[in-house]
Amino acid sequence: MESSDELAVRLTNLSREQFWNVYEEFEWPEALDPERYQMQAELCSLYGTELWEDMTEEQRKRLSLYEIGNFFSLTLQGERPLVAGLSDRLYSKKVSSEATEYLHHFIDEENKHMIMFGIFLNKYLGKVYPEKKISLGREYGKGEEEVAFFCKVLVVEELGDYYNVKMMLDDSIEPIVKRINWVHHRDESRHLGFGRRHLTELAEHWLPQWSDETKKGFSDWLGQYVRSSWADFYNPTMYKDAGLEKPYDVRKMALAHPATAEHRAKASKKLLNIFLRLGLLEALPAM
Amino acid sequence: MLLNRIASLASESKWVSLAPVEPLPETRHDMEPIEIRAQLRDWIVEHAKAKPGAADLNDQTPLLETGLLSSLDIVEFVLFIEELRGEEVDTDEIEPEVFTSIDTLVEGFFANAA
Repeated sequence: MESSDELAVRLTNLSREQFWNVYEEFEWPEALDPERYQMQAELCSLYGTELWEDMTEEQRKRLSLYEIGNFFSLTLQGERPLVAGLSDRLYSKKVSSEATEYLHHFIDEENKHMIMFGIFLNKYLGKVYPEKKISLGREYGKGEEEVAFFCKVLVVEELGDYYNVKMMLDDSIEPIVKRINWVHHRDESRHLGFGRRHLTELAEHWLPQWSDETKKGFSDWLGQYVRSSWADFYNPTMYKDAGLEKPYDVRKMALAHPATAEHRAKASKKLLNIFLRLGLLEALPAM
Repeated sequence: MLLNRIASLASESKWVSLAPVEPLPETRHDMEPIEIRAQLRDWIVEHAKAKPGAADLNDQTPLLETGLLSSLDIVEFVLFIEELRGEEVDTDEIEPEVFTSIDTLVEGFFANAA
């Protein structure tokens, strides 16, 4: 099997061949078409609930604008610590020289994604949804912080890519949204390849050195991390912006609804199977 | 059966409105400090991994050191606090120390009620 160093060299070459300019890649329309869905309807967080059924087409389309705004904000907010963490690893003993070379492209592409999402959000929503996370710090066992970092990278990228792939081929949504999803997926497919391979090597190195207690603690944390990442898709401010009353109740209803749980389980399947196969998760967490 | 469904739809439809909703309908600036503390305590007892007995959790109990709250609980907790105080929390302006105890939470998020 190709090692992560061999893969890094191949991905570096691909990134150089496909190098792109974020300021020339897009033709930004003056305004979005209110007659179209912005977020694909099936990906909206209320899809499948009784509330969604009771909404008019106009209300659903209005919600879909704030849903895409929340999704792009989540991705942007997830890419900030990712870039910080990857930058911290450049030229360090944590990664090889081949990986450092590729990380330069990884960081460059993530930075361009943040610019791309930032332009969209400021132009069409007038804001980026803030994240509610506050880092409280945590004590890590040997190797845990490194494995946890690349697990977080994979969570942000795998969940985001599920949405990108669904929307990048959908002609019914706003064309600029479709295009952003396509451009994002084009880079993310390389990032995911590197992330999966690197995490595999980290897990193979560290897991045999961890006690059963450490493994159990890590698995519990990871399951909770995936669940909390999903909870961010049900943003009460987004519901309020879309004109829904009782936005905190809407969030609780949507999170508890079996239709949305089924969606989360389906969209997380590939990600959770990777964690299970590597032994980082001991069992499937409830979605 | 049909009447029940219509009643249910009518009730659900209260959630849907295109009218601007400002401020949040759950504005609760008038809550008594004692009620705020009780609500915060109930949330922590319900969500903490290591379940504390009601008697073990007072307003000075360290929430982070004792592992009652972790980073992954914070988003849910912040949203609960937003709902409780009726306005959004700007996490850029929040120091992690505000989550030290119920006392610091009340001081940090409910200064007007304290």
